[in-house]
Amino acid sequence: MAAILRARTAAVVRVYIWGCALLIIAAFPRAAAAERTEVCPVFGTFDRQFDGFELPTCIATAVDGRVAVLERDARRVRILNANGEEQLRIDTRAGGDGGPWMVALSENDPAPGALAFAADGRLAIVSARRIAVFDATGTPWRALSSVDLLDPVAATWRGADELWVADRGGRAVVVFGPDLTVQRRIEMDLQRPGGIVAAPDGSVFISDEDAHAILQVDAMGTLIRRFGERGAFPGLFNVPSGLAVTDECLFVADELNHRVAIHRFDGTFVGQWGMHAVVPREGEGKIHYPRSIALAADGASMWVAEPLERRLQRFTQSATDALPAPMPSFSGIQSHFGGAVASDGDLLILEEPESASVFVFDLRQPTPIHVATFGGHGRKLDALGRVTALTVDAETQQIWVADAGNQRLTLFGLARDRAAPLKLDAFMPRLVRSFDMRAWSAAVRALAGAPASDVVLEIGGLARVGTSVWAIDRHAGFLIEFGSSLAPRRAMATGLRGATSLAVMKDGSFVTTLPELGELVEIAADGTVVRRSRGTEDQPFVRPSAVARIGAVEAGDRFVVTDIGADRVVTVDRSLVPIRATGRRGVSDGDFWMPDGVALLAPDVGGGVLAEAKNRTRFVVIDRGNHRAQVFSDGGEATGWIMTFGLGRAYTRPRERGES
Amino acid sequence: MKRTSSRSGLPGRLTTLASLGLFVVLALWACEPDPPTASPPSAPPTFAPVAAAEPVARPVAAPPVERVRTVSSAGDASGGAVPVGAVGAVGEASPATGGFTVRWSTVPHPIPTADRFVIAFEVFTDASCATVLDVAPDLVAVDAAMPHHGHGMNVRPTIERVRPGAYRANGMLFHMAGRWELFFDVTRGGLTERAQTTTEVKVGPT
Repeated sequence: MAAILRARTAAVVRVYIWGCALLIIAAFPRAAAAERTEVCPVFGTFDRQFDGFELPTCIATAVDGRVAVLERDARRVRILNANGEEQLRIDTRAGGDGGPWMVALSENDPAPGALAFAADGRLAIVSARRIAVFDATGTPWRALSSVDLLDPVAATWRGADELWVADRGGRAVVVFGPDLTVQRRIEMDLQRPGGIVAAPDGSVFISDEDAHAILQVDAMGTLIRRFGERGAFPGLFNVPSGLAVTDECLFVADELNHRVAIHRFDGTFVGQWGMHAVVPREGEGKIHYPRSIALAADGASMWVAEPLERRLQRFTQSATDALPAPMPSFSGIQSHFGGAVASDGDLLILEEPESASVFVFDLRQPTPIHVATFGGHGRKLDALGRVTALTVDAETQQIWVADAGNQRLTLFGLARDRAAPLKLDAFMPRLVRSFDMRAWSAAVRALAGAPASDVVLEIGGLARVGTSVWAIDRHAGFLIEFGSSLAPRRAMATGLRGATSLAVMKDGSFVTTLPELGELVEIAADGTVVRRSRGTEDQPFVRPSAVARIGAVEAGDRFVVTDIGADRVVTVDRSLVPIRATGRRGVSDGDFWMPDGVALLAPDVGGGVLAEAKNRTRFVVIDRGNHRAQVFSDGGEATGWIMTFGLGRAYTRPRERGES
Repeated sequence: MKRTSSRSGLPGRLTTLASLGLFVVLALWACEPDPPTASPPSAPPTFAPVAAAEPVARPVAAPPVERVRTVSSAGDASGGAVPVGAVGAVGEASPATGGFTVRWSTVPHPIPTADRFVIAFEVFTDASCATVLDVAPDLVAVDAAMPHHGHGMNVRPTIERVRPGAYRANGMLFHMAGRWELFFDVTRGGLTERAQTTTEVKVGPT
């Protein structure tokens, strides 16, 4: 009897123990989370969505409730009231109707890249060449026209007198004083500053997109702390961009993780909010590539700017302490093609920015077949960071990769047996050699006779001609020839800034795109700028991002240009004058959403519908905003859609409009 | 901006602590050994006998982009061309487009699975391994990866220069059997070139 009693008692006790254990396990994390977040608001409740903004890369809020939105493609700033209603539309172009708000002094001035409200309501608008500051009534207060920045992307007022500007291209933060003169330049091995915000304690936070880290510096720019590394798990970043602060908390627009992270000023991770939009255009609370964030003056809501979706969203504080923190969806990520694409013979090479990988496709079948992937994010020699340009030689099966994130120019080889059956082969890509861009930059400057500089060049475009590869640099516009050895052979300065692609003309001249100026530029073989084109009155370029030579007709070469800002592909003649435009903003086949990257297909590759179009020029367009690639043919009179494909999927019959 | 949390109040914490204390006391009591019972003792767990693993490392056929040659002897009499501490087979690897040649071997040989080993190697300027290429040890790197599995080693080897052109990569560890790609990187003037070869680590027959 005693044994039975004891056994029953033991059973009851065990049940009780398990219950206590489960209670403790369940209660402790919630209590800990509650304690962590009690001083940091969580803006996880969707409030309202505002569409129709043309590349809103920067957003700022004023103490009086106003919201300023910089629309880079439209070259304008819109001022909204606290309810999101438009109050003022500022045209920043030279000769525009901006009146006293005009920021650009000439049509060659690039679009503004940053803006910031001061505590007294002054608004600073920053471009690479000029800073204009207006008081709360809209009256010009002060301007500086001798600015020399490469790509300002964010700004913040520290106190009433200091304007701190994150110069992404210059890899530095530049501090301007009360009279807008440069006070100091902060570098600290910054790789790609993307966001900046002054904290109430006088320190300044800077996000480094390539390093996936946040830096906190004091008033003199001395590093206080640095935290963060790349990853998808809570507390990690994948391209931290815009920043915002409360009294004790830092908010980070985690662009490629599609969420907003919350940290204490000491770097402690507090939480995150936001859910990845799985389907492009999906919004109303789903976040897709958040770039800039701003806290409303009353602290009750936060604005999130999503340039790729051309929209803003406003979020209010969550009703509970729960931190909705789903991991980024992995399905479909692999079709997030970036702008770098190249093709030669039976090879097509595409870049995937979210995993920092490069995909190799075999073009001998009716649809492109994915046969290899290489790279992956990291610092190792065969890993990649931020790929900006690619080119490929099908005969030697070599691929040149410009990796701005790791500051390397790398040559990969493919151990590929064309006679073997097609398969996904992990052993196919092999690193051959890699050049450190710091040494490469010094060699280029020496060849070009340019003064020495610590600024590391960033390759914007690559084009191969025979055994030579040509590159154009984004920072100083150097045009550089090299080959398989990667060592520069020739270099010449073009004076162009912001080039993002390169194509070679039949006569050895070059064509490049300058998105910030909306220009297509012809460069002679000696580096002289021969011609600039902004399109025609009917078909102006908005943000041309990539160019490829697609053939020759009697009058000479023809080129196809992807225009991110206009969501179309434009065919231009040898004089860079548009002949016709294809596409419209949308998600159907033949439509585009920020087309970024184009490559010509060789005339003799492909089967099926690709083979049927062999008598026409065929080219691949990276439809970046729709997470896909599309193949078109150009028959001289018209441009037609052939195929849409991604990783592991392709179709050659157009879907009905609206079909998903 | 601050918010109060209903979950973090003092009563809640006291309740939690009380629950924790009760749990500990009961757990100690419950963990007292049971009195012996009449049931027969269970048999000790048995495991299938496993034959001694005999990992084998061998250079395998070269992919098209690299030249890999296997030297069957542990060295030769010419002097200077034998990797320091080399035992067993000696492999050679060169970048796809030449530039240098690496002659390498492992200590111990064959490469053990999930255990430390050393790669002894020499770098030459030419394919005939006649002229030694001497670079600073921080400009030479050895790494390995398993592309099928999408990972590399879990350790970072250190490079030690034994004599001009001769190095030891200490602390290598292949944590699993299978096909490993072995990388030798040499940096000169900002340019890093890679010699790559394939090594297969096999677990012996069971």
